[in-house]
Amino acid sequence: MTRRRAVSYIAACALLVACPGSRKLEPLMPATMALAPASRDSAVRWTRQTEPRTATLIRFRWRYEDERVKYAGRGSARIAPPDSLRFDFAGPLNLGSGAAVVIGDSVAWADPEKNFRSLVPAIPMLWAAFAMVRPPAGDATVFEAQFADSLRHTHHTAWRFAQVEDTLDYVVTDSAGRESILEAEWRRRGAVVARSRSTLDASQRPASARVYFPEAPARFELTVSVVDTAAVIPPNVWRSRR
Amino acid sequence: MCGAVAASVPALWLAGCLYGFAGGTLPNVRTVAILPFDNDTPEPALTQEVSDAVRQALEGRLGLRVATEANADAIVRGRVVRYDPDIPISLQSGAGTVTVTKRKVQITVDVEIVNQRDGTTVWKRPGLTVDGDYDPPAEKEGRKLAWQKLVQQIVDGAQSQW
Repeated sequence: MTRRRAVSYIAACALLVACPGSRKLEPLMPATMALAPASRDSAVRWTRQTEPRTATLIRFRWRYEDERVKYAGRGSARIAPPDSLRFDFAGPLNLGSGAAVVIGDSVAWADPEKNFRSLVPAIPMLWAAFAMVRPPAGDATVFEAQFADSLRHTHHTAWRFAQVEDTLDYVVTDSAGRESILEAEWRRRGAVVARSRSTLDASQRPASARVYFPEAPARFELTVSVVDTAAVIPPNVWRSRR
Repeated sequence: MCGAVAASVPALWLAGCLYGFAGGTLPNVRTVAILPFDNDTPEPALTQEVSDAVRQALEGRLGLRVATEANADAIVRGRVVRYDPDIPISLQSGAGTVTVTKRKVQITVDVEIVNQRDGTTVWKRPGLTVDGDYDPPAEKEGRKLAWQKLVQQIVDGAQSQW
């Protein structure tokens, strides 16, 4: 191979690796992972542990990128456990601001709706980005697995909530008092809709997250700057004007 | 030619002085970063509108430069605490009906300017309430007037720091 060809080959490989759409996503849970059937109640108990115990305000910086656009800005999430979230976002110079209220897996309102939907196309992934997991749907089949990595001194807990069309996989990597990781994957009819990876600090508070949408392809990242667990959430934030 | 240059130097210096004194500014603050205000209301548009008003006050009226949070001398932060969009102020009674012919919006904000260099609060106004009249249903016109009042209050407040 000539030097010129070699450089071209390396450049092409680098381009392939850099381009988000070209990557083949390996499943979050390999087929060899031994998942055992579990009760929905045990899954609900686990998801409850991921929720904040008190009303919480999370401030963050965000970045969104797809093939056409690249945006960044700031935002906040006000969470009233167990299932209510008010999401406010603003772009650079505070332009393009908007807000939405999410109750459980549904969007109660979003304004402007288009901006919110493009930023947050998958509600379970929004919760996962803040290191919180929604309980499985009533008709979901639940599986669980636990395993330890003695080399890395980490403990892993895996959950699968499978419905007819949608499957949600979660893997928590706990590093014994150091930062933990929550990975989530949403598949619809076997195809990956979204994959997220959220890190939690030593106090088990969300620190950062990256959500990847392979179909678009698009990427949403957030970096948490403040977690206020003594937040007071006024009742007006849940109401819609429209 | 030399005379013209010599004459223009003091003129420029004088113009510079006049510019410096015309707007007034906050002590030791030349650059500011405006953080998105928390919005406690159901109206998401207020987040951007309050930011625009604050920018107009600080950049347009006080001559400060907007910078990134990492580089700014001060940060401006706050909260839109309350928004009443349709307070009736003028009524017209008819046969068995009452028509509201004029309404006003009322917006309450908390504003704080913090010097990032030493962590001190340069200026703070909790519960700053502004309003603006409008002919229904032109609520946005009312908001425009309210924001103009906010701009003036911030300018007045900042200038009182001299």
